[in-house]
Amino acid sequence: MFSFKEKTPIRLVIGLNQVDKMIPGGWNEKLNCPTKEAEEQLEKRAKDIISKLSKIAQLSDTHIEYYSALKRYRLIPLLSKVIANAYAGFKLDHIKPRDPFELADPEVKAFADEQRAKRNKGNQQDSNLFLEELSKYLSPQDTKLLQEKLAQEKQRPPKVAILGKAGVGKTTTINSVFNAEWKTSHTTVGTTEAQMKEFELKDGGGTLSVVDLPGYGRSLKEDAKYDEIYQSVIPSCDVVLLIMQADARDLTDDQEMILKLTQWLKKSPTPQR
Amino acid sequence: MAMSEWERQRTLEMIDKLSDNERERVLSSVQSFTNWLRDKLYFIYNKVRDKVRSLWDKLCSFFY
Repeated sequence: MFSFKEKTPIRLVIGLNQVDKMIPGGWNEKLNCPTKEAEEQLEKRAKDIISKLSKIAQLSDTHIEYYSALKRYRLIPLLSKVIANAYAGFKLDHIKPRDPFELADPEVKAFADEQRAKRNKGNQQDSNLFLEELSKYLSPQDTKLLQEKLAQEKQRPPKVAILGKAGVGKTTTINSVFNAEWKTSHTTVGTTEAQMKEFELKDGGGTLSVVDLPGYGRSLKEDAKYDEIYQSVIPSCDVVLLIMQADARDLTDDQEMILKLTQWLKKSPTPQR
Repeated sequence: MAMSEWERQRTLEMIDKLSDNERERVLSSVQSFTNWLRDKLYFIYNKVRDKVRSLWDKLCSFFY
């Protein structure tokens, strides 16, 4: 259950991707979801990893989420963690991650659409309700100031830094979670330097800035070089999204990176703009 | 091939989970807004601090 926190969170989210590969034979392609038995197993295994990771850097499990970008499974929980931990993460709350039922059998998709249409009638709740309620307790001057600051904040595109080892699905994650097309170069394999990409979100959702950081864990020499890049880029970002492979056997490099990221982000609790 | 009753049930379960996830997303946004308010306009945050908590509880009660 969600509980309210009066503490600025560390701007870090760890995504455990590719959970669809954790249980052999556990994915129902027709429905595009795990079988019930597989879901119970992968939930248990993912929670074990989350518990292990949360201990290494004294991070709470509110920073870690398991999902599958390729199958579009649990994208909203991942987005929720990004929103909760990012600076001004509410700017991302209009984003609708890609729909998992689009990958299901057409008949399943039609059934799901029909059921969702029935449920959505008269069931609109959003965070604007909260803002409206708060305004009741503020003077007109304070409300005006709040609105001005909000407008200023909304003019800045959210800036997300993404990193992880090669092949963990960084690009697929960005495309699926933020529902955006990210064009990658066909001439280079892997990212060797930080790359800044800006693109429009769907439905007039504005711009999202993504800093694609070079992957770690190839060699000690490269890691030392990349640490400098990370430290120069990360303080200005609203959130850092670290992607890991959920079924990876060796977590040493990832654990080391989580520790470093936590330390760097604690030094700059809010983005240096 | 037509959907079996089991497949329909499983699909409905997945839709339920998506609805729950959406609610958590709204609460995340509220939490984020509060964090931002505390950082950006601390004096306003202080004025509504007690209200924030009760409104949070109210919002949770809509959902759970």
